[in-house]
Amino acid sequence: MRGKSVLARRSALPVLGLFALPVGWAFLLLIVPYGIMVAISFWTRQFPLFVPDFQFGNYLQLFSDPQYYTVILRTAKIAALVTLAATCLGYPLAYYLVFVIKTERLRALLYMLVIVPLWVSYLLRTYTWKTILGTDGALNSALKWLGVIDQPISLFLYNQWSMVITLTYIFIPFVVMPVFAALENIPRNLIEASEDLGVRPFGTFLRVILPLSAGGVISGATVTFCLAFGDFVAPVLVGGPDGTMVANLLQSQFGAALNWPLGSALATVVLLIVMALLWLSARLDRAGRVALG
Amino acid sequence: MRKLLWWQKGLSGLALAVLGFLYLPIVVLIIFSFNDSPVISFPLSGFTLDWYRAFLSNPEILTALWNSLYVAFFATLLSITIGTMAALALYRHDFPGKRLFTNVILLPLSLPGLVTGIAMLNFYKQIGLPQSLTAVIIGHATALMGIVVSQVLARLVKMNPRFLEASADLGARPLETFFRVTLPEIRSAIMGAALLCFTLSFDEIPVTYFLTGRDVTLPIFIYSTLRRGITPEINAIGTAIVAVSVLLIILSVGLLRDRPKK
Amino acid sequence: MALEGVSKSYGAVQALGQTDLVLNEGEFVTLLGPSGCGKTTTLRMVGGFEFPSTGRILIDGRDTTYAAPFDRPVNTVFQDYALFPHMTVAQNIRYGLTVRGANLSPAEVSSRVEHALALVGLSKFADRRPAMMSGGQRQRVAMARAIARRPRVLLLDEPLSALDVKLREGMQVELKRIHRELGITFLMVTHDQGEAMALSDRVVVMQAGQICQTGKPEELYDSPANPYVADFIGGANLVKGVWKGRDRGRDRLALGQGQAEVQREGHAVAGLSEGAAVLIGLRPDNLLLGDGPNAISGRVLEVLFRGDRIRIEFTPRGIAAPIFAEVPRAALRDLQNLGPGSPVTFHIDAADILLFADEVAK
Repeated sequence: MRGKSVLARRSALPVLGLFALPVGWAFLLLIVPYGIMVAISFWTRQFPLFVPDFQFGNYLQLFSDPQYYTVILRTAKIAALVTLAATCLGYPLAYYLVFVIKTERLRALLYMLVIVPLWVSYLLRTYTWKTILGTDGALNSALKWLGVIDQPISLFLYNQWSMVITLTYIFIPFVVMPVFAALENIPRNLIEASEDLGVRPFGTFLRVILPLSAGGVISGATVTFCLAFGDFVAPVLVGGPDGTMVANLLQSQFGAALNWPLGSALATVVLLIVMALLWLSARLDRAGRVALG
Repeated sequence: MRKLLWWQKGLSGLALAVLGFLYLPIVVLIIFSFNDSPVISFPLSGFTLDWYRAFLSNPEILTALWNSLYVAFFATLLSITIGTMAALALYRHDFPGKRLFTNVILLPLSLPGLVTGIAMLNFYKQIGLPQSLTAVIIGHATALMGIVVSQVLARLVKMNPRFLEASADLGARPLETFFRVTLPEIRSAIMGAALLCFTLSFDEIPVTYFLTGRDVTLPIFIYSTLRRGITPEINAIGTAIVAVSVLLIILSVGLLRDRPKK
Repeated sequence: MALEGVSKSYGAVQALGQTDLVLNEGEFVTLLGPSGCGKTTTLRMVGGFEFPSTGRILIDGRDTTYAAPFDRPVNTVFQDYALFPHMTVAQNIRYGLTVRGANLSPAEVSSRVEHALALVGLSKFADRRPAMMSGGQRQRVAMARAIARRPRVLLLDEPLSALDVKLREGMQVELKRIHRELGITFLMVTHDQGEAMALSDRVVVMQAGQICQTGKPEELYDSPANPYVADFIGGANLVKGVWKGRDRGRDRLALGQGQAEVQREGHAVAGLSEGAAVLIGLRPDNLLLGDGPNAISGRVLEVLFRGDRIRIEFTPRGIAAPIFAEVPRAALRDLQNLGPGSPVTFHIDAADILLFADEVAK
C-alpha cells in the first residue's frame, strides 16, 4: 500500500468535503438512477400509464417472445463477431508496433496514429461507412469506375455484415491500446531467454508472448464486446431490416412503442451482461496476475 | 539486424493494412466534403466549397453547434471538478464502500451509453426534472467522470508519496500542499482529461438522445438528418470537426505525455 | 570456443575493439570490468543476441558468428534471470528440452529436469511459480534451466549482482561446485573483482572496449600489466615517481619530489631510462606499520575502523595525493593514540612494490 501517514489522517475536515461531493454525486446520479431503472423494469404498463408493481412479466416477455430474444441473440452474435474481428486485426497491429518497429520515435508516432481516430467524431466515422458502402456510395462507384462491376452491389449496406465491418472499424483501437501496453510490459530478456533455450521466433510467440499478453487481449475484448453490444449509432445508420439490435429495440420502447417498463427490463439485461463480463474479466486478470506475481 | 521471417512480413503487411483501414473513412469524408456533387460517388467531379458555405449559413446547424459547445463546456467543468475530487479521495484514503464507489464511477467507461441514458431518463421522470440541455449536462458529467478519475488517479499513483510528506515536513498544511505540490503534479493529467471529456461530450449521442428536450446538439442534428438521407453538407461539418479534433489531439499529446524528468 | 578479431560498433560508437580470446574445455573464464567496458556486449555476441561488426566466433570449431540464439550450443543465465512468469519452475526447465530439434524422449526430459533441479538443490520446488520464490532460488532456477540443455558453454551475465551480499557469498560456493560437477566451460561477466577472483580459472580484465590483461587471478594480483589493472584488482595507491636506475635486480625509485626513496625487487620494466617518470603501485595491504627498509613517513589524515582491520589515510611528505594503508587491528593496539595529525611511518617489502612506466607523463 501507499504510505498512509498520520498526516493524512489528521486532517479530517477538508477530507470530509473531498468525499461528500463525489460520493454523493455517484450515489444520486449513478446508483439511484440504475436502481430506479431496475425497479421500473418490474412495473406493468396500463396504456398510457406505467404502474408500480413487482412482477417478472417484462423479463418473461423478453425471453419468450421471439420478437425480443432473437434480437438479443443477434446482438450478442454481432458483438461477438466484432470482438473476434477487432482482436484478430488489432493484435497484429499492436505486435507490429512493439516488436517490429525498432525506433522509439516511430513507434510513438504510429501508436498516436492508432489513437487519433478515437478522437475524431465517432458518429461521423460511423456515418462515413454508410457513404462508403451504400448502393451509389464510394465503394460501389469506385468498383464501377474501375470496371470491376457493371451494376452497383447492394449487398454492402443495411445488413449484418455492414454492421460488423463498421463496428470492427470503430473498436480496433480499443483492442490495440491494452494489447500494446501488455506487449510493451513483457521483459525483452524473456524473449531472448526463449531463443537461448532453442525456441524459434514463432514458437516463442506462441509459448511466451501470447500467454503473457493474454491480459491485454481479455480487457480489450471485454470493452469491445460490452460497447458493441449496446452500440446506438451503427444499427441505425448501417444496419438494415435484418439487423435490428438491442439499441433499436430500446429506442422504440422509449419512443413509439412507449413501453418503459419493458425497455427498462431490456436495459437492465444489458447492464447485467456488462457487469458480469467486467467481473469475469477482472477475475481472469487477477488470477493471471497472481500467477505472474 | 536479422531479417524478418515470412510470418513477420505477413504480419507487418496486415498491420499496415489495418492502420490504413483506420483512416479510410476519414479520408473519404474529407475528399467528398470538397467534391462538387450531391452524391457521394467516384469519379470525383470537381472542387467546391459550397458544402462549407451551406453549413455555415444554415441557422439550424449553427444553433446545434452552439448547444453542443455549451453542453460540452459545462459538462467538462463539472466532471473535472468532481472527478478530481473523487480521484484524490480514492488516492489517499480508505473509507467504507470504497470499492463499490470506484466500480460505480468507472462503470460508464465500459457500459454502453444508452443504458446510462435510459437510467437517467427514468430518474429524471421520477423526480420531475424536464428533459433539457441542463439534464444533458448532468448526464454527460456523470458518464465522463470515470475518465477523469482514471486519468488523474493514474498520475497520482505515479507521484512519489514522499513529496507530500516532504511538504508537510517543511511546514505546509494539507490545503497548501495540495495547491503547491499535488496540483502542479496532476495539472497536465487534468488538462488532458478535460480535452478528452470535451471531445467526447461534444460528440455524445445516446445519453443526449434520451435526455434532451426540444434543443438539439450537433451530433443529434446530424444523427436525425442522416436517418433521412445523406448530404455532402454533413461531410463539410465532419471535416471541420476532424480539423478541430486533430488540433485538440496535438494539444493533449503535449499535456498527457509523461515527462521523463520526473 | 574462440573469438577471432571480434569487434562491435553501434554507428560511430565502438563498444568493443578487435578482440581475440580462446576458452579451453571446462575452463571458468570471467570478463571483468566496469560498466560500458564491452564485457556484456561480448557475452551477448557469444549468445547470439547481437552480431559482431567484424571477426568470427567459433564454438567447437564451428563458425557460429551469425547463427541465431536457438542454433547455438550455448545457454545463458540472464542477469535478472528472465524466468517465464507464466510457467512453474519445472515448466521453465522443461521449456528448452521440448523444442523442435531437441529430440528427447519424455523419459529423458523428465530425468534431465529432475537432475537439473537436484543439482541446484530445488527438487522440492518443481511446481512453484517464479513469483513465489526468493532471489537466490530464482537464480538457481535460471542456472538449472540453462544447464538442462547441456550447453557446450554456459554464459553467465552478472549472475549474482541481484542478490544481497550474504547470499552472494553462498552462491559463489554453489557456482564453483556446479562448475566442477558439470565440467563444462563457463563464461561469466561481472564488475565485481572479488567475485571474479574467487570463481575463475582465468580472468579477462577489460576497459573501454579493450582487453587489458588476461591471466590467473593470482597473476593479475601479483603482476598487473598496467596501473589500471593494479588498481581495479585488489586496489593500489598509484604514486608518481622517478626511476633512478637498476642494479642487481633492484630498481631504485624516488617517490614524489624525491623526499623518499624505495628499492623494488622484481622483473625489469621495459623502456625505462634514468630520470623516467614512473607510477609506483603500493597496495594498502602491503604497507606495514613502523620503520624499516623502504620507509615512507607522513601525517595521518583519517583513521577508519573496519572491524579486524584499520584503514589509515595519510599524506606522505612531499607527495601531493594521500595514501591509504590497511593494517591489522592487532598491529595498532600499541599505538592507541593515533589520530588526525599524528606522525606515522610505514614500510613495504621490496618485492611488493609495483612499477609501471608513466604513459601519461610521456
